[in-house]
Amino acid sequence: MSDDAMVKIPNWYLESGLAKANDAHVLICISSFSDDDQNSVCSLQAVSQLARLSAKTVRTSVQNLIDVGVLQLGEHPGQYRLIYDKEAVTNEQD
Amino acid sequence: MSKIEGRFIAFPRWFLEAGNCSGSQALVLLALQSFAGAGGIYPSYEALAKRAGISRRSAVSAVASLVEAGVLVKQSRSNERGHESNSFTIIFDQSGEICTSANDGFTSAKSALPSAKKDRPSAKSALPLVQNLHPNLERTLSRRLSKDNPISAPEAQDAFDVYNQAADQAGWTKAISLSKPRAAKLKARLAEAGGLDGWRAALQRAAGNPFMAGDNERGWKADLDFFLQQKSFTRLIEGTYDRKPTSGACATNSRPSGPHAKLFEAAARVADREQRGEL
Repeated sequence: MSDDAMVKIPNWYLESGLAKANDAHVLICISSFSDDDQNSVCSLQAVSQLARLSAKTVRTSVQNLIDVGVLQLGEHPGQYRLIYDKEAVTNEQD
Repeated sequence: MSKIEGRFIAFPRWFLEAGNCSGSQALVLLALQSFAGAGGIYPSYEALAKRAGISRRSAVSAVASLVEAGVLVKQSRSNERGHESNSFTIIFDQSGEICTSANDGFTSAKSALPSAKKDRPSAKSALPLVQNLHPNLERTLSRRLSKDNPISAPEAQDAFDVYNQAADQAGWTKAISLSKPRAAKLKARLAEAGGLDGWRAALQRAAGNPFMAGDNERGWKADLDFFLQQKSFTRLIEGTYDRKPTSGACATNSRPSGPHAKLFEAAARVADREQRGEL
């Protein structure tokens, strides 16, 4: 199975029990725009169209994902980073 | 890439890009993946529901829809004490070795059909919109729209039209609406048949069967939904529904006649080519 066939998201996000349906879907969509499975560049509109969710729902989900710590905003609009290291998130929150 | 090794859950790209994936389906698929071990994936529905944070009923429903979509294969397990939890296989690559049954639900990387709820543009139509944002997007979407996307939505429409033409000639019930579920199934059957020509040939094989045209006790006629069922379609391409030669008639010498003569001849040609391995 090639890497191309997979969209990857952090394992800990699901195991944390914090995953919600729309949030997970949005996270997958954002990750699908990534070339290295960590850094993504995509507009909310593109995610909205891929996920077939409204822009408002996507925006809410992105905020939820940021709050949980599985997603970080990049320097520029439309840049996202998936956080695979749960420890980093926990330490930051502490 | 290696930085995240062992710390990720994978999601089938083709299913995401098919555009039919719902949030609960995505969540359940991820939850299933999180149970993956050396021996396979076999959580109980209770465990799956708990992991996904949804009700058991929702989990059962999501699993059923994932199986229907062809992204998940469910197998019952049993031991001496009775039924055990199901075993699941997630289909990541419809052309891969473990994916012989993935063609059940093979859908294109981009479904251009509008959502049933809202007439949102497809991801394909969004391409010009996102092209200006980042070169990565253009590359990613272009890749998805080309090699990973052998069956396009227009092909589903073509297949729909081919069915109606065949139905007209064979006396089957014609289809009126190309709904989203029908389009998804059409794409799956197209993938199985090897494209539009295969689909046409498969229908031609069934066209000569009077049973399907209503010549039965119940007056039942074949319809599009019948052919879209995976089981029916497999039987169709395996020749189960081929017209059987009548007793006393010599099949090799008999010439088809009547309104479907051309159709019979075409079906015979296709069958002949199949036997010779050309199809």
